[in-house]
Amino acid sequence: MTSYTSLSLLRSITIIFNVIVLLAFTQGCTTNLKPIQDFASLSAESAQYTTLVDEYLDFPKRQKRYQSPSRHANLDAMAQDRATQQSALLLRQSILEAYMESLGRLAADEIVDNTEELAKLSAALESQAATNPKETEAYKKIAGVITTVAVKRWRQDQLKDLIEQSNPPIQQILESLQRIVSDGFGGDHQTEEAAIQNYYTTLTMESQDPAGKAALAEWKEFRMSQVLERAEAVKTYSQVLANISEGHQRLFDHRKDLSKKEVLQQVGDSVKDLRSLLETIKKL
Amino acid sequence: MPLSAEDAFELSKQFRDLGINLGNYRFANWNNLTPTQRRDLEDEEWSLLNSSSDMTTKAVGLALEESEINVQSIKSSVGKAKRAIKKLEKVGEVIKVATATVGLAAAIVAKDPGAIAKNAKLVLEAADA
Repeated sequence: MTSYTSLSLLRSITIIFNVIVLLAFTQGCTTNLKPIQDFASLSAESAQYTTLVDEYLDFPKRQKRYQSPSRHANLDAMAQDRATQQSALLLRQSILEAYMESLGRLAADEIVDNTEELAKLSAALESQAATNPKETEAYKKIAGVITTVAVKRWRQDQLKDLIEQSNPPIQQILESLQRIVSDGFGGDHQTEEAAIQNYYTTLTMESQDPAGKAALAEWKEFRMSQVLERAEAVKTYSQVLANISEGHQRLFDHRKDLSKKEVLQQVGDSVKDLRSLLETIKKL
Repeated sequence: MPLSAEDAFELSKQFRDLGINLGNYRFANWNNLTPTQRRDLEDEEWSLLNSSSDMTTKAVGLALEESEINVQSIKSSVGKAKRAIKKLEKVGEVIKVATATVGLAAAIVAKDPGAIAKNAKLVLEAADA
């Protein structure tokens, strides 16, 4: 064996050794954060659900159906007050969507592209007289692993920082939205149910006409079923918000080890629940 | 003490419950009430239900006001995250942040395995910082 061949073999061994060392100490930060991406993506998708806001704004108009014209001016004023809240209500949802999109992108692998950097490194290595093509390729691979890991680690730190800084305000916003949805939008449905009850029961009790009473009963049932369906959407959306809040809190609690298998498994479970809730709400 | 969103939602619920109870009373005692009494009671029911809805509107407004500061905070976090994403899209800039990469590149070019491992660690530490 010539001294050149021995040297080359030694270099190859050290290259392999270095790759092993690098892989060993970078383990854990190259984990795929797909469940976090999915969680963020579904949370962002849920924020596009604005039907409940539309129904809240439309409530005074629907009430006119049941109340005497003498009360319509009051209902118009209520509609105006609610209309002024529209942009702020939608802003809560759009800010949640923007946040979740950023979270998802920071958890994504595909935005890390070091091709250009590696090409430059290869060119630099090739210009070195003592470097043969195989060695250049091997070093390029090592540099690829290192830069990818460095970028991934940096990205995961950004992700950790984002979650850490945003958890308190995100939890507050979600809590506030949940209250608006369950007590505000949900409260409207209870009021609407009472209005339907008042209106149709009064007419039925005043009526002496059996056919008229039967028709009123059918209309009452129809209106009630509409309200119950909307109330179901409120309940489901409230669960969606609770699920997002719980999921984000989990990310915050485990922000230092987001790539751990158990953490990702738990986030994955949340994703399943969230997906199922979103499918339910889409059908309503 | 100013009214909080929580208080306003609670008041809204109480107005609604009163209206519903009044309605239940009117229907349960329909035959014992005069037409005027029925009309007066019904009027009160609608007033209570509308007061409940007005209070809901007020409560939603208060909840929005109370969460405004958090919205601003999230806006700032989103801005920061977007800048980080932009940086990630230009991975070279990220590498530049990790100044130790210079050492790593030098070690690779010099084909010094010991220095490669040492500088690789430094790159990761720099990226961590």
